[in-house]
Amino acid sequence: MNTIDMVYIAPAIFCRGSSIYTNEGPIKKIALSGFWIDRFPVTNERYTKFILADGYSRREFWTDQGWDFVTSLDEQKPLYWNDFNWNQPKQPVTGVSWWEAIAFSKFEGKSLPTEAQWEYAACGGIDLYPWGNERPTESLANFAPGCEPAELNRRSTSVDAHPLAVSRNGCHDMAGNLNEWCLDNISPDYRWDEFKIDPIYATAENLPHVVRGGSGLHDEDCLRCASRDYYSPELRDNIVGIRCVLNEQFIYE
Amino acid sequence: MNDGSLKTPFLHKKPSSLRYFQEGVCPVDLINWKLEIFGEVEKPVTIGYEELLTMPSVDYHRRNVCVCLWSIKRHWKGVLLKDVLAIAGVDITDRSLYIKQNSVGTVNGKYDSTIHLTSAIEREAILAYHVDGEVLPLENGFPLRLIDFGLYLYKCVKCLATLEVTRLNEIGYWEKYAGYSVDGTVLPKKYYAVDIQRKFLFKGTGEVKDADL
Repeated sequence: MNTIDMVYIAPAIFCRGSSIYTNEGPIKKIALSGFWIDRFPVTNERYTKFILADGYSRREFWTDQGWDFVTSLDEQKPLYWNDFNWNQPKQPVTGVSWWEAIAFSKFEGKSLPTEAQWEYAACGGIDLYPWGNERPTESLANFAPGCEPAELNRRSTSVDAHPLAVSRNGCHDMAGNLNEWCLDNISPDYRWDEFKIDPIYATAENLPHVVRGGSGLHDEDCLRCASRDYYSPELRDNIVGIRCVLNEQFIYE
Repeated sequence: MNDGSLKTPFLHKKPSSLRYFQEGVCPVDLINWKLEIFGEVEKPVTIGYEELLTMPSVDYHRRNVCVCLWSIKRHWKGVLLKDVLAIAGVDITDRSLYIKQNSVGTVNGKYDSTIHLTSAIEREAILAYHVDGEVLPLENGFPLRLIDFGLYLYKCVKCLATLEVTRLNEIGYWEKYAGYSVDGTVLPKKYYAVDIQRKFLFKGTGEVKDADL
């Protein structure tokens, strides 16, 4: 098991969600098994290994629908792979669909986080933002106050550009820069969760999936650890990236 | 002219639409500009800018939503899509029809997007030439922009040049490029309302009304 540059999160019980918006509630205590999660989002440098290993051509990394999708692409690489603003080695990889995110995680023998895992890795059951409760600033995250980025021609920051924003669990770059794909399909709220143990809301892989964390195009509200958004698995815009997990308990294939 | 009654609060806070102008701004010579309507029509037509201005107009104070999670309610003036299509003899009750919009375009290409015709008619989509009492700025799609308030703005083509009535729901520029939905209906999500400077959770689908805020 390769846990280099991952942090271990011990089994925990925490209050998921918030009362700020109804789609983030109801707030309930949930239990998570222990898991490892990437300290940083997947960088372009790291994603290069997947490309050089012919990851886009190796059927074993792709679901059936993912394979149909990836073989339909004009070019088998992330959408912004040749864009100087987005393709630097320490920048997080973007322009990747949910299916590419899944395939990459399988390539590394990992998975994507559930949104509950993502939220706990970010907030530790305590914090409003990964760094605490202080309002977001430029020194803490790459985001767009009032949805207006500072530059017309946007670019991402390197994954280690905001060291003060590290979560109490040791994860960097969880707020802003790029959203991160989660395993779950989107749900209107958490009322579906009866058991509250390692929850995951999975209906169909071709339906929209949760993303967490906000991006350089999104406002401060999206940076809150409990904030939720979603996109169709085909989305390859420069607003979503990847962070992987390793589960102690098998939860998804 | 704008007498001040058509002002949009916090307009200076609106995210720049240039960011979302994929092919870039194209200065248009109104002498030569025409809107062409063709395809599944009784008779193809071209309509000039001055002719559009003489048609019965509508004034709408309605909210647009960007797929990038912001929204703004502005004062739009233009002609109803159904009135323009009537000139070409389009059967606006035929639910198998779509409208492919094409922009004037630049050296970077043309922007296109296709929408469902009867749905757009039912949502009272317009071809807008004024916003907040002023001629549509270049940034917002001068001289003419199709606005369907139930769809994200990427489905509403700026600098409109042609409307092709078709039975093919073709994937458009932005949808093909970045994977956004061909349908483009505004989805239940949190959006930032620029004009009132606050976030809201929209629980419906389609047009965002005041009661949704």
